Amino acid sequence: MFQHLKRFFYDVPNKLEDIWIAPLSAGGVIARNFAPKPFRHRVSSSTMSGYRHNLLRREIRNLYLYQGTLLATLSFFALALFCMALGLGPEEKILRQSAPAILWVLAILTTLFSVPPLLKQEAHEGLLDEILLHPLLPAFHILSKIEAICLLLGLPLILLGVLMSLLFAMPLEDVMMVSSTLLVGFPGLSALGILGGILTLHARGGGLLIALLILPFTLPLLLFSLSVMEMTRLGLDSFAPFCLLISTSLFLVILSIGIGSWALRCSGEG
Amino acid sequence: MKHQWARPSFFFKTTNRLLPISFIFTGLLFIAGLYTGLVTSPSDYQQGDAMRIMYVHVPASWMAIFVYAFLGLMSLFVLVWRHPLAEVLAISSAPLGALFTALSLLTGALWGKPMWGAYWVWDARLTSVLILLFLYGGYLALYKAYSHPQQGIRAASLLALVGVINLPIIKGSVEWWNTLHQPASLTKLSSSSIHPSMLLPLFLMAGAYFFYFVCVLILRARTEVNRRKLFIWEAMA
Repeated sequence: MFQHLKRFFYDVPNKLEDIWIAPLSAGGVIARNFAPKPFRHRVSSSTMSGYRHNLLRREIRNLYLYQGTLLATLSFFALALFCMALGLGPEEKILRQSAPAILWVLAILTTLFSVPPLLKQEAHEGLLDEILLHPLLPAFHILSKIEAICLLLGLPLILLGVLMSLLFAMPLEDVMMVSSTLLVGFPGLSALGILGGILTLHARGGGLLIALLILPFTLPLLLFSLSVMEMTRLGLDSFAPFCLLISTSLFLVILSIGIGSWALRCSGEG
Repeated sequence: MKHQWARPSFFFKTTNRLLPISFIFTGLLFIAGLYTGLVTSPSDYQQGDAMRIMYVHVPASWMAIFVYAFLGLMSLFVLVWRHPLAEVLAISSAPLGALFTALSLLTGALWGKPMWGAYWVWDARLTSVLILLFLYGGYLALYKAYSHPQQGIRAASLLALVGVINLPIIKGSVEWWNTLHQPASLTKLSSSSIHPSMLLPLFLMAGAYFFYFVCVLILRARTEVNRRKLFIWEAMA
């Protein structure tokens, strides 16, 4: 127990906190400090949890290097929301009713458009080959990739959604509800984004559009969360679709971990 | 057995015998099914003659699902045993499945206009079949996106395996959700709710579609095998 704690705090230089303190714009300086170091293989004395801790840290650090892409993605989300709100006109009733669907569809599109290029870049820099060489199963790496994307893309996206919901004249309960469905559904969404990215790693040009072929699998998330919103709007108990949403999201995570590690191995063999 | 089928010469020899038989069956069953369906079977007491589109619509939907199940099975063979014939069969069955799905959606729309008053309604069955069409499209697009067919087929097979989830959803969509589309009339447990005079042409048409699928699958698979030969020769030259 004590050894665990010791390694948790001292063994790896602990810069994780800095990420959360630093504003995104000051990232250039931090990114230089966070340049990915060669990953140390510690086969002998590691428990699973120690490995997992390092994996998540590593993924967050790698993802943070692409903060420009993440920032562009988030601004795409915000601008698209703005355009939709403008296009729907000032009718408050229409805005309020269509806001959850628009938020969800844009979140899906943003994730599916932004995650596969990130993976492609990681593959280009050889980070995915490292995964195949690592003693731990690729499934754990993919899981920590999903977690990292949820933290660095999902959370800011949801916060941005809350902020932009002002444009849609939504009541507070609706805002809370739609952001909680996004929070619950985002693991499944990012898992699918990663699966699409791995499947299209070596596809030639136009890979961006090809990544959209994973889009039909995101539909259950969309449907369940919209039924949650519908129930809330009608004043009914929305617990059942919410549970379905959670289970679908977790199922998608498990599915893309399994299929994704299989696909990663296939693409590694060439 | 498994290894024998991987030999192209064995495949060609077997299908040489299979192809004419299935051609004959296709022709006979289409003639018989269309004749009994359009001429001799009675028209529905509510829907009139518009109901006769069922003999095109229902077998097409069955085949759309059957072909996807076949595709899923072949994808499993591709991924687990790396069987070359499975690759060829999978990639040559996908456009056929897409064709059946499109036919099913089209005839369904034509049937829906007089019966429901709209070509398209947002119904669980219709939506899940449309997603099936997208899955076929995604499979083909992913295969075509790779320059090397061997790499493309593996990525596409993984996608096809994930898409198998859609099949039970299509099957259950009329029972789980309250929909406009009627539930299945033919079930294993209870006796059929269709009169035999309408059931016979339905089964004849289903057989015709099935043998059509077999014919075209064999032809497409042969073309694909020959294309792979050319690919290898080009690489060797």
